[in-house]
Parts: sequence; structure tokens; C-alpha cells
Amino acid sequence: MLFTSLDYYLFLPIVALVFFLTPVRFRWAWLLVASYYFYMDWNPWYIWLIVGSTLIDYTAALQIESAGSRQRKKTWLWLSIVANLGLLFTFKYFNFLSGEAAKVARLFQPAFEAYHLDILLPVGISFYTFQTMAYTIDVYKGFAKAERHLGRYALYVSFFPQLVAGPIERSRDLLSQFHFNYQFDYQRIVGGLQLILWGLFKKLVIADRLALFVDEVYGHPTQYEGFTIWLASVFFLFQIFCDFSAYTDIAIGSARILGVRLSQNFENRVYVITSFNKFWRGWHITLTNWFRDYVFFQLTPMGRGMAWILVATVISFTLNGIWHGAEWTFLIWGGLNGLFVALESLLSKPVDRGLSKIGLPKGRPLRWLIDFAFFFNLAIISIIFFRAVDVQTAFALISQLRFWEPIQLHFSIVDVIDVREVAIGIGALLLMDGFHYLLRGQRIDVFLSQQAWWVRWAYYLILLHAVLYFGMPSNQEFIYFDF
Amino acid sequence: MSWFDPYKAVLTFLLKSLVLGMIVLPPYAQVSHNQVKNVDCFYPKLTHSAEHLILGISRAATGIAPEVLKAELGLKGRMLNFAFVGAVTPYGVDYHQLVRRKISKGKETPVFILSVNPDNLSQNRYKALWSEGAHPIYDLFLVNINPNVEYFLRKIRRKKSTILDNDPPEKNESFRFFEGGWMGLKDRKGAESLEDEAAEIDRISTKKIPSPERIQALSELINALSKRGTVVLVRMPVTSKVRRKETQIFPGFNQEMLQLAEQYKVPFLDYSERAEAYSFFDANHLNVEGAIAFTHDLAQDIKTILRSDH
Repeated sequence: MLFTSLDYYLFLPIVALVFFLTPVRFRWAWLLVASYYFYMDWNPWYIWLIVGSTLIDYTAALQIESAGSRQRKKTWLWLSIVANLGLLFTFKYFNFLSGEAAKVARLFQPAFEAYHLDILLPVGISFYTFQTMAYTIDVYKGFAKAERHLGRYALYVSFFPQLVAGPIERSRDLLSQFHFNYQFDYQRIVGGLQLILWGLFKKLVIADRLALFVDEVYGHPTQYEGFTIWLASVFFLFQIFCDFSAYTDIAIGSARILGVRLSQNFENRVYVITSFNKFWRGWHITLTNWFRDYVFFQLTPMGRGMAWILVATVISFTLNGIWHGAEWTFLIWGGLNGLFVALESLLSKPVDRGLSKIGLPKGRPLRWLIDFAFFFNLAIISIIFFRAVDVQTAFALISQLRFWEPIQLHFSIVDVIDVREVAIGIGALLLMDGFHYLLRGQRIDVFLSQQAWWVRWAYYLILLHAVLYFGMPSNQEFIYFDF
Repeated sequence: MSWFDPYKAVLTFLLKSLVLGMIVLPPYAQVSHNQVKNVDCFYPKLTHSAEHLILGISRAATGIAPEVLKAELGLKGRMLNFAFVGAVTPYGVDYHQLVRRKISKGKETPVFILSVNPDNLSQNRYKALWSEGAHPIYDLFLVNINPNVEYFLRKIRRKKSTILDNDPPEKNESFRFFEGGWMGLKDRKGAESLEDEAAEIDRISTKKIPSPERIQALSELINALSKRGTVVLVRMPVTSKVRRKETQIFPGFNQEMLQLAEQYKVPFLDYSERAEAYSFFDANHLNVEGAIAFTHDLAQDIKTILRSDH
């Protein structure tokens, strides 16, 4: 069930209505039923993976907490990690690795055939396995208590607003909210709906419209060059931001209606990239924090030198890239971003000193422009790997970028793409950025609650009309459903 | 907080939601309705229920004129051409359920024309059985409401946004839309298109195999409909090339249909070898003139059958 489908907007009010009518102590059960139904609507059989993962991690956490020896705790921790990574490996990485191994084997035995598992990638597997792994690791380290209520723990794994594409929540943040002693709160529910509306606008009006241009250029990489590829890549950066942050907004909004507060995953104007370190503090925050806490910090115990910290940064980001998919393109994208972050950490101070000496200290508009032009274009180059179908295509696209050539769209694209659609996409993007600028880091619901009633109604009417009249058909899945 | 507060909050919320819905949805429904009513061949079929139905795929959608049939048979209730296209409404469980939702009770004995041919009783060997169930028309909760806001909200036939999408696939010079869900095809395709079409028929026919499951579904549909009214099985006219291909794909087709007709005591009328009597748009669809002439002939044959039954 897509967050943009009409069915979801029948499902959510029914879930909310029954939730508020159900006695508090049974509300977890209702939400668990609703969450399992939500997942089974996509594929009823794969619910058993969630059930299996739930039972393993529930048991492992209890055993870790009650174990007398450190060795026994460790055994249960590794059991949980191996089970989760095993699931992920089987469904997500096995076919890729088998294919790559077969390529090597064919060097020696040309007729070698790769073994291929004929299975579908379960939606959300990368999200819920990382969430449950974090839980057992936190229990092992003493950062969280093991949940004794199996039903509540099952809901923590499968809570439908964040089940298929995050935010990846920590147990100490989410489980503690599952007492469900919430009344119907007008402000909270309206706030949730305001977020949902904003998400629908970003997804249906912007992301899916920009996809028309992006898909055309990336679908025919040899036909286009120069500015057209650059523009398609810029559009893709905005497409993926609008797509994924829209999913997150709808997830957070839906959870808020039920009284649950989920984590922010994106800063509003994260796409204004003037630093990679800053960018990664505001982009897919819950995943970046996961890799920071469970990979980077584990690789960098006290006493390690700067060189090792930089290497650990590249390793963490490369793993972050692989998390997105079993493709070399994702690995390179992650590795490049790790390298950019590491190099920026290493070089930012000397570069800043040098630029200050020539009259360009931080804070000057020209300095901001230079930083933006540099970092934004680096991000654009790296994101080509994220979007291209394979590494060869990515390199071909980058080689065709040609920044020195005049700014001119390829003549044939206007025959394929409706110019009005692109114009509306750009107009909507500007509207979004203007609104983000007004928000100044505040949440939409907080901002709107401080405005006059007519501002809120203008927000509802403009966005509802935009979604109805300019929204693309809602059968396009969210990009992060593939991960 | 008093006990009254949550109820007041709920009421305020519902009232404001209602006002917002009233401001936004009716104009949207009107704009969308005006935009699609003459260009989308699916939409008019999903706005009303009907006493008399014409079922099948595109051959029936284009080849049977409900208003002509209704006038010839002297029927008073609404007759709807509820045939879509091959990928959407082959006979099967999903179409059967949708048909049940379309029938309205009237004072007359209902007439159900079931267009049958090897195409809508076969299975694409590369697709899952009942794959048509994934089509969004089967997600509709509302199929008899005018204007059908749900149809617009689901953007069923749209590839772009609503107000920019002024070129849906049907809006070209070849199509005309008539009362009762009939999609009339003008004139005939050009010679070049006919060559493409011949290649397409060859390509599609290699994918098709007879489907016992679809025949079973048709059998159940006839059983259900014959309890309500008069059921007539019709094999539509097609060009000789298509007829030959269909005989290759499904050699015993007419025998199967005759068996079903015998089982449920319903007539089976085969026009598939009477291509010369009608004018065609392409190899397997009648054009407007052909459809009107064919519908007249069909009506005469049905009248004869009804008279002999009485």
C-alpha cells in the first residue's frame, strides 16, 4: 500500500478511528494487526520474515540481559547479528555476489553459470533489519533495556508508518512511546495531516514530475551530453530528496496522528550543499547516525590517529553506499562521499585560512557561492553513480558532462518531455524552497501553528489543489522502497 | 481537561475537514468530469449501473451499439456497453465481481450480451493467471456514481497531471464516444497500420493458450446471469486472417461455446465468418457503420430467439 495511494487514505483514518476507540491497553494489538495488514497487502508471505526477525531479536535481547557471562551475552548478540545480516545477504546481496563470483570463475572456466536465487527483495528489509540489530546491540551495550512485552516489541519492528522506508528508530526512542495513553489531540492530528499534505505535494507534484526528465536522460545516456546531463542529475538530487523526505513526512505525520513521534530524517534545505560534513548531518539522518554509532565509533576507539579516522570515515560511508543496494554504483557513490567527507575534514582548515588571506573568509556571499558551486557539483558527480544503471554508464555520463561547454539543452529533449511539466516541476521546486526558507529549521506544524488562520487555510488550499490538479498518477513507488 | 474537550475537538476537526472537502472536491470533480467524459473510454462505463449489459473486450466495446440494440429490442431500462479491452476484461473472477456490482434491478427481464472469442478466453503464457486483477479499475470502491470522484482521484487512465493531460490515448481522430459506453471507431486504418497490425496479430497469437480457468469463469458468469435474465453468447465478426489465427490458437472454441450454451440453455450466435457483411476499422474491430449494421443483425437474431422461446 503506497503512501500516495487512495487506499492508504482510507486505511489510515480507519486505523486512527479504531485506535482511539480501543481501550489503551489493547491499542498495541490493534496497531500490530494494522501494521501486519499494511505489509501483507504488498506480499503476504514475506510477513514471516518480519515475524522471524522479531522472534529472534526479542529472544536474543532477553537472553543478553539475563546472561551471567560476557561470553554468553556475546554469543546471543552474534546470533542476532548473523540472523539479520543473513536475511539481508540472502535476499539482497546473494545474487549480486554470485554473479560477480561467476564473472571471476568464467576467467578460468568460460561455461561457468552463476547460481541465481529467484526471489523478490522484501520491501523494507534493510530498514527493519538495521532497526532490530541496533536494538540488540543497544541491549548488549546496556544503552537500552530488553522489551519484555512480545507484542510491543513486534510493533517496534513493524510499526506501519516507518516499516518500509524508515526512519530507522532506536528502541529507547520508539518503544517508550508505545504505552499509547493518548487522547484525541486536535493540534497533534492537524499537525500530522499538515506533514502528510506537504509530503504528498513533494512526492506527487515535484519528485514524480522531475522523474520524467531524469528517466529520459538516464534511460538514453548516449543521446544526451553536457548541460542536459548536468540538469538531469540536479533534478535527480531534488527528485530523491523530494521522494524520500516526502515518504518521511507522511510517515512522521501518520505516526503523529497515532500519538507517536518519529525522528527527523532530513533537514529542510539540505540540498543547498556548501559542505559535505554538513550535508551528511542533514541527509537520511537516521541511517547516517546508525553507521556513525555502530560502524564508525566501533572502528575508531580512543587513541587512534587522524589517518585511521579518515579511513574509518571512508569505510563507514562505503558500507552506507552498499546498504542502498547490491551494485558497484552504490559502493562507489558511498565511497566517494566518504572520501569527500574525509578530505573536507582534513583540508577545510588550511583551505579556509588560505581563502581568508585572499579576502574570502567564511560568511562572505562570494565565499558562500564558491563553496556552493564546488560542493554542489561534487555532489552532482557522485549522485550520477547513485542513479546510473551501471558503472560504465556512470563514467560515460560524467565524461559527457563538459562543464566548459555553453549552457544549452539538447535539442531533442523538448520533443520527448513536455516542457510544461518541467516548468511546473521547477515552479513547485521554487515554492518548496521558498517555504523551507520561511520555516528556518522549524517543523511545518510548529510553524503553521504560529500563523494566522488564513495562512493555514491558504496552505491547505494551495497544496490540496496542487496535489489534485498537478499531482502525477500515484502508482510510482518511492525510490527508497527498493533499498 | 473536561470530558467534553475531546468530543469538542473531534467535532471541530470533522467540521473543518468537511468544509475543506466541500471547497476542494466538487470543483475538482467538475473539472475532471468535463475533461474526461468525451475522451476517456473507460470513465463513462464506471458512472452508472444498468439493467442490461454488454460484456467482453474491445471487439464488443467498439462493435455493439447499446442504444441501437435497446431500441430494436424495445427495452426501456438503461443498457450499458461494459466491455473494456483484452488486458482488462477477459473473463475471470475479477471481471465477474465487477459485473455483479454494475447490475441494477429494474422492471424488465435483463438482457446480457456476452461477447466470447478465443482472445478473452485464453491466457497469456508469460503472465500470471488473473493478471488483469492488478488493473486499477478493480481497486474502485465506487463504480456507479456520477461524477466518479474516486476514478479521478486514482487517476486511472492518466499518465500526467489532470489539467495538463489533454491528450489521453483515446483522444485522436479515430474515436467517437456514444451513449451507453459504446466506443465508435471511424473509417479504417491506413495500409501501413494494417501491415503493423498483421505483425502484431502474429506476435500476440504466439503468446496465447486456451484457458480452462477462464472458460470455467465464463461458465460461472453465465450461470449467475442466466438466473437473472436472458443471456446471449456472441462471437463477433472478425477478418478471415484473425479467424484463421484464432482457430490455430483455440481449435475447439466453438464446440466449447456450444457445450456451455447447451448446459445453460442460452443461445450462441457465431458471426465470426461473416466479415464480408460489415465494415471494419482494423482486422478485429468494426467501425461505426459496421457496428451499427452488426447490432441491427444481432438484435434481429435475438428477437427471433426470444419469440421462439415464448
